[in-house]
Amino acid sequence: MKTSNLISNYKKATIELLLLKLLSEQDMYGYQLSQELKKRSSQNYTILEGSMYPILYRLSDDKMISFHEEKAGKRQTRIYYHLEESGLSYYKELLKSYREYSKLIEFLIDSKEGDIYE
Amino acid sequence: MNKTLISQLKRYYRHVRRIIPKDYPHRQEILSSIYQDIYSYAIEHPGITYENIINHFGTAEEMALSFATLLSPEDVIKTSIKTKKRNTIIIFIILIALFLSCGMIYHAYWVSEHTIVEIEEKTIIYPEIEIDTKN
Repeated sequence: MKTSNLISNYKKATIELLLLKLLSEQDMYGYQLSQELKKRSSQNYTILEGSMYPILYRLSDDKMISFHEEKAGKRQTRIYYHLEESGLSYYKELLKSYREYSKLIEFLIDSKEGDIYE
Repeated sequence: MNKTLISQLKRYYRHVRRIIPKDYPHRQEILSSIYQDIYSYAIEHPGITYENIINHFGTAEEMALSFATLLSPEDVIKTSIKTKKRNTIIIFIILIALFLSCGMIYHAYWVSEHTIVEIEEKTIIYPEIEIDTKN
């Protein structure tokens, strides 16, 4: 498997968590979300804008987030995404399991024969 | 935005619209959000070219591919069930239309075969008229 494929798989697995993280800070619109990820990661985590919308709409279907429209300029309307209470608890749960799992993977990578994870 | 860029973007939107499956969940909302993002990007970067936009947002094929990989297993099942249902309905409608047109053709044929055509012949005999050629 190519490294680029691996990275795209990591992205696929973490994009939901990262979108929830950003929305836990403040309401944001789609373009802003992708730009923020790009900025914070020094361009190392870039996603196609279009690819995050399926996740955002799925989260909205599950009542984790809601959205509202706001006028920006004369012709432009922005859709702001807002993290709901249920979304916040889901985010915390997701973050906890992510940390536990990555800790486990780290342990397994550094482990030698006879080491047991506690 | 200049006119050339607007027309190139229109073509790009059409391509994206065509390539994303019709049954994709929230297809319309997602497409309009993408349009909004492209618009925001173009406003924030005056003098931007079509190539810059494609580099940033990806080609229509790349976009469709990322959409497909992001579908959850439930969505894949939902989409496939929807597609199956739609195909069944289309096949059913085609069969009914075919059945009806066959019926109509047969009916027309049957009527033409079983209708008694009455041909009335008329013979008109005009009285002889003498033409006076002396005057």
